[in-house]
Amino acid sequence: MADYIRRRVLTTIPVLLGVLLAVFLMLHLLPGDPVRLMLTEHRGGSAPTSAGSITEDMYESMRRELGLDRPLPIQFISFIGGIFRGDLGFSFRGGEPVLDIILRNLPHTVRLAFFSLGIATLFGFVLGVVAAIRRGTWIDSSMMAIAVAGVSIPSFWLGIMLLLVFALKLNLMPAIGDATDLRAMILPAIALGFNTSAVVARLTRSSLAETLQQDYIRTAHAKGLRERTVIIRHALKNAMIPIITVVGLQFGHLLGGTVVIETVFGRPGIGRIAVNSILERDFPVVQGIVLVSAVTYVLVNFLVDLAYAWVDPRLRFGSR
Amino acid sequence: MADSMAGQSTRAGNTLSDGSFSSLDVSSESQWRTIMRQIARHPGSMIGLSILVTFTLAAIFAPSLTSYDPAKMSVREALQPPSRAHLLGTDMLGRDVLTRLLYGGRLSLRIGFIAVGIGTVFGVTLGGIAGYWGGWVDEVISRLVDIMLAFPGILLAIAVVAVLGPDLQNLMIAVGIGTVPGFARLMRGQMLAAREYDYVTSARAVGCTHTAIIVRHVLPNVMAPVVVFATLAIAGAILAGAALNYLGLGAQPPTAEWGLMLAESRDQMRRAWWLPTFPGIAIMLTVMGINALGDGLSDAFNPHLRRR
Repeated sequence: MADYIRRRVLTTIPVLLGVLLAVFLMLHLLPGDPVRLMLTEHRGGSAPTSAGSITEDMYESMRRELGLDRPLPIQFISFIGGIFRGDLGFSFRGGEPVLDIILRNLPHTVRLAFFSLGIATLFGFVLGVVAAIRRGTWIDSSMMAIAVAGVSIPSFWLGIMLLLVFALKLNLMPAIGDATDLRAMILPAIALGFNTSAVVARLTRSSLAETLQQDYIRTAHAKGLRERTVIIRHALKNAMIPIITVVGLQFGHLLGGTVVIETVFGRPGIGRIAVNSILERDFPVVQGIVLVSAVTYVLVNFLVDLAYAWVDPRLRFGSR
Repeated sequence: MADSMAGQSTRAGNTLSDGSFSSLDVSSESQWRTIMRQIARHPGSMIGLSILVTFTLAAIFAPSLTSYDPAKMSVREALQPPSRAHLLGTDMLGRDVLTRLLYGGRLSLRIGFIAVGIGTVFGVTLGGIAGYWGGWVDEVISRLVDIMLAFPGILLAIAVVAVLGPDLQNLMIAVGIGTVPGFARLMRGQMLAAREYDYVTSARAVGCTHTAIIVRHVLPNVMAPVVVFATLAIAGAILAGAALNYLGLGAQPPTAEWGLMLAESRDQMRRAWWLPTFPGIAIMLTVMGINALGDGLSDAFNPHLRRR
């Protein structure tokens, strides 16, 4: 196991560095000079160029102040150094530290993603198990029809529809609630997780169906165990392996999906901030959010892989 | 490497991973005819194909199917519910919703095809190079793909839009870049497997150049899973494109685009249920049709599942 962890760490580090480099270059790949952009976008955004207020002096001093006159590799190193000190730069709008903005909004997003993942996994798992046990019956086909719909419905549209029906027409749910109110989180969580539950359902069905054909299941039946015991104790345990991986990976997708869902429901969170920041050309905030999301995703994947290896010894001792 | 693949292509993965497709099939009729025959027998994919063909034709012939103009405003006819004159109602500016849906279909389909076109070209090239040459080339490309996959869901596309600026063309590029890593991984795996086949060794033995081996011998044999993956990717690209448009990161008003139409319906939802309802149904049907077709193709290409 230790060897496996070491190998996995060694492949994760270059990816993390690559992510940092990509995010670092984001600001430098922008059409136009970041300093000019900052001078024009800073506070309020209306370009002061008409008044001719960007003098060469202002430009040079800003460039020096931001350290943009240094060679790129040096800038990159100080960018990484900044990240370790928790310095993600400052918002163009209002000058608040990016880290503060993210820390204030991230909990809302993570809570929604977790809640959604829980609902989706449970729902998808039950759906998949039932479909696999009743394979080939109308129950199976209707469950899988739901699953096909699940991967085709745009999550944000499902959110809009849920909002329209349950909040505006039937008044069963708050349309826009307090971010910490659990009731206000139900509709967004369903909208966000529907796709995931479809993925989990399909996978559970195929995984369990395959496991049920294994020899040891026949052995278990032959021993005279009850159907229920066979499924729960023998089949599900082994069918779980691929499901765990996908559920872990889905967390990242849900984190990405919150971008749209938060906007639909007007909920606070980093997704909504990211969209607003792109529209307001507040690049340091966009950069910070992209960075935090990607790093979180990489780390979650890493943990999922470890969990996977822990459950499936073949991987640990495999030749990879 | 294979570990994070699972999330990318859970739908396509189970049939794609076994690597051996067309080369096993030795029959007198051409491969494509066999596939067409398989699709014709698969009810789901026939439904999918008919939805796709209908929507494509509707988008192409939109001007002759409706007498309204997608952009023409008429305040007097604002927010009318579905009626005989306006089958799907009108929006807050009095524009005919059905007309806007028909014209919007052009954009959604274009986004899907162009984005996936970009993804296929770059992804297949990168993955093919990585799988064929292996060694450090593979190592570099695989890490690059890992980095791209580190941006979850539509975040990669969002980051690209943030850099390029929000408009429709950049949106297509962004969504396209988002599909590159999936193609690259798939192609790399296919290439790795193909490299071991006898026909590649033979081609090498008779002195074929690398280009000739890849283009003439390997590519035709590994195209099947790429086609399946591309079909499913088009569905994903349409969804991602609609989401970005909804967020205002793509097409700008007064363009008739499904995602944008949903965004514009936001303030009218309580009064006009038809505004948020129909564009969503249009997106869903399109995506469902393409997914069904993709599933059918995947079965048709997979010799183990073929019903003869």
